[in-house]
Amino acid sequence: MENNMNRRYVVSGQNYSGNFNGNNNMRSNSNQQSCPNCGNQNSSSNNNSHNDNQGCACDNNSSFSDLMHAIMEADFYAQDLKLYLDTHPDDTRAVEMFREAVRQYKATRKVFEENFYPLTSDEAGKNGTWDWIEGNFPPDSCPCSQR
Amino acid sequence: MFVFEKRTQIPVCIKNKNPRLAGIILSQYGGPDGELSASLRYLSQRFTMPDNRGKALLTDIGTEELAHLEIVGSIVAQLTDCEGAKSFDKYGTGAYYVDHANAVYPASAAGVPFTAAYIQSKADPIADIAEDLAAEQKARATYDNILRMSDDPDVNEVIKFLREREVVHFQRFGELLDYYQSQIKDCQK
Ligand SMILES: [Fe+2]
Repeated sequence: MENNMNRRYVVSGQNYSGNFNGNNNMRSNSNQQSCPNCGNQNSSSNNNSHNDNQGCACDNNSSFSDLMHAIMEADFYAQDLKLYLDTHPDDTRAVEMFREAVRQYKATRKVFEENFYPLTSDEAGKNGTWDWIEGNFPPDSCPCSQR
Repeated sequence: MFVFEKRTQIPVCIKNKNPRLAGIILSQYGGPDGELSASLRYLSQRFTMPDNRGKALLTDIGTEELAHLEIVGSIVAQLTDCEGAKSFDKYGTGAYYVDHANAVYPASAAGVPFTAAYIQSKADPIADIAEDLAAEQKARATYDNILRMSDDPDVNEVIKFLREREVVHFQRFGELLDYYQSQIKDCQK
């Protein structure tokens, strides 16, 4: 199965590294001007606590982008294993790897949601307010443009 | 049942504006070999797969294609975010702008609206999976064509990921086809 793994996204088995694809060349939208006409708020310039608006918050190892990248990595790993397991259901080692990826995904998601905003609506409203509409929906969900 | 998670599968962080590139990449949103075609094809065919192995694989790949649809839509939206009529016209996409402005509309790069005629669903697992194998290669080839035309590194990073996924899906569909063909052989013994 190894040859079909997408190694770029393999998680380390430890806690999140935020080291998404081995380089930090992600770019933020943060040097866009806000656009009053298109109704499409550029979340990055509104929510970004950095004033410099230069480059990408991912370069700064912010906990937001680290956690979001860790969620993406762990979930991608689990999803890729899921497809593999659909056609190799007897591979018990892959089942174990799948469980570990899911565990890591859930753990990082929990930390993210405690610190930022709910990612699924069943996690919304825990603080008594309708926080489902917080955060960034696609296409404004570049994790690099967040604090 | 589907659950929306408020993020894309991988980061989509496009710095530069480019309506021309958006108009090309749009084909993987609503074009013949795009992600909408892929997701509807698998999510429709899954209902008549002969066993749970097939139902699981088509459901899971079809679901991932929906996540890819969201990624491609995000690329198009980011490439055109806040661009005005003049910019679209300058980049040769005035014809798109007059009908859709900054919206993301499921159409091919040539402007043909999405149609279900791009897909088939036959209740015959051999026919369906053979179509799926071809579909994955056509999507892979389309991403190769996009990479030949795009010089935006932020875009290419994401397109290369999507291209790679088509290769993995092709592999999995091939394994499912082999499995069904071996089942047929066992029956004939
Ligand atoms: Fe695919």
